[in-house]
Amino acid sequence: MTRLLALDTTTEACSVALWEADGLVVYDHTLEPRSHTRRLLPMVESLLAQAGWSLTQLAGIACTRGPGSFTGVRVGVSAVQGLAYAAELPVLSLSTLDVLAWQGVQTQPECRHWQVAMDARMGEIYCADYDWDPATGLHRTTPEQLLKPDRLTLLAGPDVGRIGAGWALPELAATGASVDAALPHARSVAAWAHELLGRDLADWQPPHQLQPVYLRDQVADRRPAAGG
Amino acid sequence: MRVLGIESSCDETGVAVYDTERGLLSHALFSQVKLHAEYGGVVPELASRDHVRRLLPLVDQVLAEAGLSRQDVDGVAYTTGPGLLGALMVGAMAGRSLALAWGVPAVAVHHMEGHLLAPMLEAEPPAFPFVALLVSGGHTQLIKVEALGRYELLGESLDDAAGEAFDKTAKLLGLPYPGGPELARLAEQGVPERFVFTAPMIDRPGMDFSFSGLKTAVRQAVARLPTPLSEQDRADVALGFQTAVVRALEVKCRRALQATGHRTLVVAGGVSANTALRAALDRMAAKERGRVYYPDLRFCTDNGAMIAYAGAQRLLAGEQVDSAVTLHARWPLTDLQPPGQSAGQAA
Ligand SMILES: Nc1ncnc2c1ncn2[C@@H]1O[C@H](COP(=O)(O)OP(=O)(O)O)[C@@H](O)[C@H]1O
Repeated sequence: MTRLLALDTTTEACSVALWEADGLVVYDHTLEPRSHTRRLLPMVESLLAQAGWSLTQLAGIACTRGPGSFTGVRVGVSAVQGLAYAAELPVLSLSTLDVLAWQGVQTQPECRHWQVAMDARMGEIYCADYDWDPATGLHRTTPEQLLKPDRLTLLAGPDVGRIGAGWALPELAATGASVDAALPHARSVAAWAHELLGRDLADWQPPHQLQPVYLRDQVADRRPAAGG
Repeated sequence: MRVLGIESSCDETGVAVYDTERGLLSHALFSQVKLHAEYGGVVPELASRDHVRRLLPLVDQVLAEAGLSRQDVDGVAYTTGPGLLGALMVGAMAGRSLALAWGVPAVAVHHMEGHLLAPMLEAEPPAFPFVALLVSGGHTQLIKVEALGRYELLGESLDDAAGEAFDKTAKLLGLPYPGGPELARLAEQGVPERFVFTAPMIDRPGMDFSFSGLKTAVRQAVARLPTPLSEQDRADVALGFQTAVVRALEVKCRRALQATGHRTLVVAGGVSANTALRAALDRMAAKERGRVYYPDLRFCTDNGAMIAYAGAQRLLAGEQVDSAVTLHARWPLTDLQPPGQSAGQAA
């Protein structure tokens, strides 16, 4: 009986889910801006209480490790590091883009190709492409990237699905493609973790190995140290 | 009670275990000074990123050094301000999560209360009440301390903090960041009284400070010297600057002791590492028939031990916070209350 705690804080949404082998148990989320530090742990506590579970009964904790809002990613990663370290649980570190792709597959399984685009602010997107086949599963076909929207190669065809808030940026909205401008949520984190476990692809890690993936690494300008 | 303390308000990740019966069991620090040096100052985003990398290994290290297993921790204390929000967030979220998963109480610690209580970690700790001089990169304050959480502001800097003045002056003299300690080292080679700068505000009543005028005076003095500055010129200017700062701090501390009638002065924060300051304050206090207490040099700058200690005092008194983590970029020390249920959570 695989019990999982899943959470996502990588965008303006903040969500937590509890998952058991046969499906979702309980779930909560908030869209209140800048409330992640205040809302995340009380949500975890109250969901565990609702389900009557303790952390030590879990098989592990799954969370999105980015890309996403820098601060948001760190709220989730820091919380999971602490919870997993103290409860001595392994961690499943998942790409936010992969989780969104899986969120798309859940709603439109007929789409065999997926393009995920998250809003990366500063006029850029975090993005990746995927192939989906019920027999072989979901596979990322490009690296996770930080791009100007006009550098994104649009896939054509009736079986292409597009998901993520990046598609709502003016340059991409102008393409007229049909899209689902969804934010990631913890239910999909749990569902994707479950999919990976089912295919024996889950890469459990000790908590300190859970580290953010930002994609945007140019965050400061170097200048002479002193005397300049 | 064994308390794990976590500090991540700026550019040091500090973790420690304090035992209310046995004292400090272990402490570990990762300083990001090298990381930020090439930018000439702390880059908040880089600081936050590094805290996430360092924190758990440091927790592991302090538990191992204390000979404790993960189940032996009875409480968790973490800094929730003042400081860089993104940096605070890392330590506070991890700390609160550890407490939640261990099922032990957690407490939110004011960074400056940590500094203020750091001398309590020594073998001969000061006793309440006392006057505290907090001198760091961000603060210069004189505080009347009646008891834990009972703080009254006597005076503060109207502009730059003393540590900031040290750092800016050091930069002016071409010293590498962060220049305070470098400037103090250089001053040891200086010729006394070649440069005499007026100690700011000592001719005015009250216990406030101001250091920006002094910085300007130093700049003007440097501008009159032949360039490039010789090593001796720089040392002489450094000594002149340090002497003026120390004099200003000494005069206001004496006033604070006289105004409150307290005999005990506690000096904390990064600048309390300064040897010239310690010598001057010791002399002054002796004349006032008082005594000065300092933190160990390791606990003058940011560290986890002072957070573990301050948190332990509040936990002992029954204070704890729920799992909603609230952070404060700015948070006057005088807003603190004596220990109580859910104090430290106020917005
Ligand atoms: N020996 C010293 N003499 C003067 N200033 C010093 C000395 N050692 C450290 N400092 C100063 O202390 C400050 C750092 O102290 P810290 O308590 O970590 O401050 P904050 O947390 O406010 O940045 C810096 O401004 C540094 O230059």
